[in-house]
Amino acid sequence: MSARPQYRRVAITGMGAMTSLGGTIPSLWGAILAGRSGVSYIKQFDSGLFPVSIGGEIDLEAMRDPELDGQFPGCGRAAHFGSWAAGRAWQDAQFASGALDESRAGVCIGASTFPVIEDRLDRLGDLLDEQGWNRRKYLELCRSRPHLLAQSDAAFISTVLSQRLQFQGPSTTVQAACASATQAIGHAFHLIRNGDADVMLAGGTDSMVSMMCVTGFTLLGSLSRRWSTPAKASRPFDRTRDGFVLAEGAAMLILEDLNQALNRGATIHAEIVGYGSSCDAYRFTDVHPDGLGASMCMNAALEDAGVEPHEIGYINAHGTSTPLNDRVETIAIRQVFGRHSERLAVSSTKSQLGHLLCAAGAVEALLSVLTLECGSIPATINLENADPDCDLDYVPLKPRQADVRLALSNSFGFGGQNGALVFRRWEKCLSECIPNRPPMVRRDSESDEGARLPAPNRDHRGAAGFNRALRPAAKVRTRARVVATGVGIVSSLGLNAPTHFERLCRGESGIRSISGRELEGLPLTCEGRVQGFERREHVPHRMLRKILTNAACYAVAAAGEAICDAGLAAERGILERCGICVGSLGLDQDFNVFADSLRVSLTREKVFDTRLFVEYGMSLIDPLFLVKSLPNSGLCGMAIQFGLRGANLNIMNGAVSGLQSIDAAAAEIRSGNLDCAIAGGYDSLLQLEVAINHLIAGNVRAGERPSSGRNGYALGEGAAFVFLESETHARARGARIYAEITGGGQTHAASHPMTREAGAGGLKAAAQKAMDAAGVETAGIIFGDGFGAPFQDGVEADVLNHLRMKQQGIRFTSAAGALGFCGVASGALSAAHALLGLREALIPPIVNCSDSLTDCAETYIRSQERLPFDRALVWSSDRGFDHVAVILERYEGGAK
Amino acid sequence: MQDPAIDHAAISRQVIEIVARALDRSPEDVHPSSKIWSNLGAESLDMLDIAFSLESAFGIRLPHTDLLGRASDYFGEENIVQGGALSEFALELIRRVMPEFEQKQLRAGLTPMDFRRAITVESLVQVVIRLLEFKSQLVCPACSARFSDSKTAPELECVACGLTQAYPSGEQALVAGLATAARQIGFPGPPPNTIATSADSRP
Repeated sequence: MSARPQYRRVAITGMGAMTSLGGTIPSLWGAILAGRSGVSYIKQFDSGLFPVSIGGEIDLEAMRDPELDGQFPGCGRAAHFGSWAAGRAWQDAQFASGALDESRAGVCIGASTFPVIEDRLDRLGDLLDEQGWNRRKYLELCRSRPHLLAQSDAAFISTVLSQRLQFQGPSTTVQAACASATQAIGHAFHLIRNGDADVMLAGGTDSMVSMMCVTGFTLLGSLSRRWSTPAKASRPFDRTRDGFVLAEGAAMLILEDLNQALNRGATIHAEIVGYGSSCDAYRFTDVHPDGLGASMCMNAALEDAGVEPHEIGYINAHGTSTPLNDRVETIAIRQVFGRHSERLAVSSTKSQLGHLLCAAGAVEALLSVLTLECGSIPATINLENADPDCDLDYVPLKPRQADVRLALSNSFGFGGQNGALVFRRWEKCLSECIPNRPPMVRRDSESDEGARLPAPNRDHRGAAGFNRALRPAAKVRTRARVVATGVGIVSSLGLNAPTHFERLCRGESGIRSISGRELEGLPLTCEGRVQGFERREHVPHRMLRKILTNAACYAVAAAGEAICDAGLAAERGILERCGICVGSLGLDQDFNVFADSLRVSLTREKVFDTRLFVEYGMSLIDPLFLVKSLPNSGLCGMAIQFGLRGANLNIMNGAVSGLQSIDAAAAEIRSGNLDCAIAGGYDSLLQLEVAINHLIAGNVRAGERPSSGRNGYALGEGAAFVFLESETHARARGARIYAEITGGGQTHAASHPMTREAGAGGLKAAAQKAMDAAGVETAGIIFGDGFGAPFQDGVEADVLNHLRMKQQGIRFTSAAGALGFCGVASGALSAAHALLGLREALIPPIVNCSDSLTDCAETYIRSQERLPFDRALVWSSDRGFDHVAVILERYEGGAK
Repeated sequence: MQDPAIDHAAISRQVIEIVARALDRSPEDVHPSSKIWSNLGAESLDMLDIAFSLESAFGIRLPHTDLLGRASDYFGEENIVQGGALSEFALELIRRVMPEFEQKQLRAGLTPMDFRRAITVESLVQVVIRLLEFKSQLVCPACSARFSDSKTAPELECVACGLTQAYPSGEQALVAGLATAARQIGFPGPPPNTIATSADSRP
């Protein structure tokens, strides 16, 4: 690690896109400068019958990738678009063979997940009965068509891209609704700048122009319905705007350490220099009326870039064409840029492309880079009627030549997650004359004695916003130590951390016979269900109680406990700038929401009829279903409940996401970007599609009595969150410290199909990365997965055997026997157990331990052990592909 | 199902229950005069929720565009909003289409936002009644008999010949109400309809 400078500059060396205006950069850019619109009548379903029938649609057949179909059958439109754009970006970057260290290359993209109904329409007559969705028949259908479930797999696309490029660094899907791609690019940028990767494929891909998605947004009233021709419908900042236009597509960037790019003689399109994110913490679908979150993220991005507002020449606006967004974005830009906003060019390319949702930020980042590279600012087309509330220079109707040196791109998502990126034009001479960021100084504990709480970075409520005095000239970055000061848990063993941990250590199990309706009819007998959870008690906010799913409510409750445990319940100032890093489940949808609607859409012959759906079915769907199934609702819910407005990241990356979120939050604190953060994960596997997925994979304990041995796992649910802070921050406020997080690492095993050897290689590498980062030789007690499924247990056993060679008497524990497999929450729960264990010198045992898969039986902890230990290695794996490891150590004050 | 169109009190009770449930309040806290946004603290998502519940409870379809949006489409935006406030013509339209709206609020300077924020529970009750009346006036195109709500599906069924059809869209009722009011006020000529809707322009 020491050979690599801690803060590095990041270049963009490759770009690719697939949009309704073209699948190559020249065709897209040509259409943008010609002011063309990619919006037309939707062809992928019989849209003419629907109240909204237009979108920015792509002719998939023209660019379908047969190789992708062959390698990963079941890929949906978004995977095809993403793969296309990634392939073009990779070609554009022109890596010579052998010029890339794949272990230091990763993928980070924004993508959506959505209940796909369309592929099931031909079987609806079978699948729907009087009670709703017939679960057994649905299971049969999915067994015969396993690809049906691939599209509900949130992490699938990033996995496909990592596999195709053979990247072995972190493979991550970010989900922040319409800010997803911007946050993905921002996160990838920070990973390279912090030295955790050298090359990242970053961007976004999305396709929500399907019948159900159009229905969902129509029911929410978000889409434009009043226009003369489709090309005129998206009209950001125009007085007559009345909603956005859905679009699909992808854009991908290759981000690269600048020095590496220069050394290999790469063509540099631009530099990415700043990223900021924030939460509105206001409402789910309305942006804050004063533009609070929007101005915070722009300010944060400018500060991250170390540039003054007046240096920005162009803003690619979020500019959705909804009445509220465009007005509020204008207010926010005025707040941040003050008088400079009069001279600033702002345009919305959504006027031409429509809204690509989770890919929007990627294509807009790409267009911002092209603006810098080519000296032309894209127009806001259709801006024909001036709105007194939108009074900036929006570059109306025609593009403009301009010499722009710095550009900013905004994205604001449903739920209130925001992101902004700053790009700098690449000029060769700048490679010498712009100094690297200030070097990081390791801050020793001695020098912190009596340190005060760091002041908030910025008073974002400043009247005019733009105030030089508030902007530190050059923030000295310090490499901080990261400590955990609060833990919160909701599980089948308890609704708070102390109860949960006490029962877990006593060897109790939360696995019971199936009791919920969701899984009735499936061949399952037991489950790890949270018991006795009262929404009213744990989620005070009325709107959150109404729209959050059970799992998201657990997240709010566990985060609340962690915040209280850290003694911060009343510290509004600290909470307001607190970061949020959440691992969320991909799909959180009760399919019965659609049952009534689909049933009345069947003809007498039990055939789905689109006309019946439009006339009768649509109005029977809960109009809030789309909001209720937002994958970032847990994060946004806790932001709203506790007034958290700081930097944020929602990771939707399968089972590793919970632990990955803790690692990511720790990395941001370590690098000085955050003082404190709430981090963790939540999930519920007690859902129809999820349960079917696990049943088909053959890993679920089925057809037996509960607790009858480890022949697979029970499906579980829960949430675990930890409060993390820099040591300085914690000590200054006299916080009680659980333990220190000293290192973390993430890998992706690029093997298709997955083998036990490749999976073990990936996990071993992640563990090694974490130990290297922490500077330790041995792992201590291991808190792992231990799911009781043959493949996963085999991978873990191989790595335990490997570690045993270096560390005699290595010990392993896991909570899956007691809690079931809790998906995204599992890794976060393990981390919480390690923290509680380190503090209380207690190691919880494995419930129902069997040692059939390993020759190191003594490794497994079978009964509660009261044993002081100094170090824990927590790891989490997802089906052999993704692996995250984190080192936790007993906190010792003083120099380390 | 008994025709509820005549029972104002029963409809009012049911609407209050729906609003109370949507806003997580006790029905005692909700009164016909309660302003849904400013008194009861509703958000835009609540309005969707309330509309959905009203539709299922009464077998009606509410309009998707609000009154001012639709009036702007039909009579031209410049005839509805002038200098940021509702025009005298718009105020007169509201008086006629929504007679339950508190009359003293309908004075010069009222902005579209003020108007929306002043919507009361009673306005919802009246919308429901108007849609139920509109529905009860429909006659079967095949035999000219009346329709009633089907017992098996969310649709209308002819009491004589059994022909079924969808509930009339709230849009139809809204436009019909606006057209009648405009005629009464004496709005000159056919509606300019400056901004076409997607349905109008689809080839």
